[in-house]
Amino acid sequence: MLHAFLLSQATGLKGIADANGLGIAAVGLLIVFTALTVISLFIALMPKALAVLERVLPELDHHHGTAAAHEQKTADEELVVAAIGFVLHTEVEKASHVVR
Amino acid sequence: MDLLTNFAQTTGFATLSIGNVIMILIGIAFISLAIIKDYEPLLLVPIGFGAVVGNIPTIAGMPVSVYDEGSVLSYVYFGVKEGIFPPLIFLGIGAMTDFSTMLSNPKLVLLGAAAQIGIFATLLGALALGFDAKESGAIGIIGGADGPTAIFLAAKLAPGLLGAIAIAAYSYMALVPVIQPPIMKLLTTRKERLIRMKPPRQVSRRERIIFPIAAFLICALFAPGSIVLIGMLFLGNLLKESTVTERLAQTARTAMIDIVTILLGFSVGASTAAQTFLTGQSIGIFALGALSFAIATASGVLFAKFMNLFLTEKINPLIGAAGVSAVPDSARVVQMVGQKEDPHNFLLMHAMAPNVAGVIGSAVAAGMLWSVLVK
Repeated sequence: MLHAFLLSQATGLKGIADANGLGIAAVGLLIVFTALTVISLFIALMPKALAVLERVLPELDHHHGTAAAHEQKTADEELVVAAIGFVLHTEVEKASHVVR
Repeated sequence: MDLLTNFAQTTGFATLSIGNVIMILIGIAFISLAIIKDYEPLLLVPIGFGAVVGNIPTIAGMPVSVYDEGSVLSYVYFGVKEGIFPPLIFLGIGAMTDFSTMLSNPKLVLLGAAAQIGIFATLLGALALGFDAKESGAIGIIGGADGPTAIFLAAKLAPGLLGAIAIAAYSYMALVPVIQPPIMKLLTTRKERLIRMKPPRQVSRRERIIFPIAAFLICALFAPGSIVLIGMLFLGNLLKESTVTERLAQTARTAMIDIVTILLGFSVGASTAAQTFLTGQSIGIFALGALSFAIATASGVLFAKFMNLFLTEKINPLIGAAGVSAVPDSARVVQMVGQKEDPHNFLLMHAMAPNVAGVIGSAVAAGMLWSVLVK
């Protein structure tokens, strides 16, 4: 059955070794983890850096900022409604299982 | 009589093969799953109908299919084949993604990285099955659970397998609610599933604006091959978060992404002609796809448990499964599994952090594989 897939390449461990599979996998994972770790560290340090920046360059409350604040409020309200809707749906589902 | 015979020869009935019939039935099955079961309808309806269209036999000399130069379908398929559509979809995804849960708890980004182990484990599995390096890289990306990324990398590395890889990726994304829960329950204890996490903090507007620019620079410098996908993702996000380009963000996450999704889904479906799709290789790709999702889920959960060894504020390990970047389905699965144990434990917002981190991780992995394997 295995040879139905591909005949021209080596299979099994030889196939992995011929294509330097372990090397590619190791380097690939290293790059992914390193990139996301650096992003994670950047995100963790960002509030501290912005706190310093806030003293020099305070965030102004202009109409775009107001729009952003309004957007955030609307987004929060939508989250609350979504959460309520999900709880109600779960309760209705549970009730219908009991009835069945 | 000869005229009738000649006419009969030009109809699709004359050259319809069993393979075509099977693929047409598969296309109809996709449409049925989408409409009746609501499984990823935005993708499965165009893909399913495209599979039906792509398996009607054509007459020699009449350019109709995606593989016939000069046909209308080939012009639509051009966007898939040349990797144009996936970055446009990422633009829309960026414009609709909220990274604030990730920004409020940065350690959860690592769960998105851990889930990408599925990509590289699948790459090794594909090599073991006899696929060459480029094909294995394209198959491995199925483990990223990201349709546009899978199509983009397959178009660059293994265009001949693009149909099978795309169908496998989208099929398993639709089956995330079926594949993930058993693995999540197997790898966690009840006590772990009951862990409640602190609510995410409020994230400032400045953070949400600076993040896409900085994250793009970090990812692009580590993996230049990810420039296109990551660049469009974070451009879309910046359009959204800056609030000064709301019109562009609105278009990107609505009309534009919908148009591209229709064209991409339909042309990918139409590319699954029986003679190119129904092969032993496709069976291998589907088997590897299932394995990739399972390994990605397990990796995310196990990495969360590993992190808990060093953390005072524990992570609910279920959210590790959301590192599989099927946004937002895998986050919803985490919510569902968590609520089965404790109906008052709301994990959805926490799960969104590794979920969106997984999108970044899979794009970086794709960029890395493209850089290394394209030579």
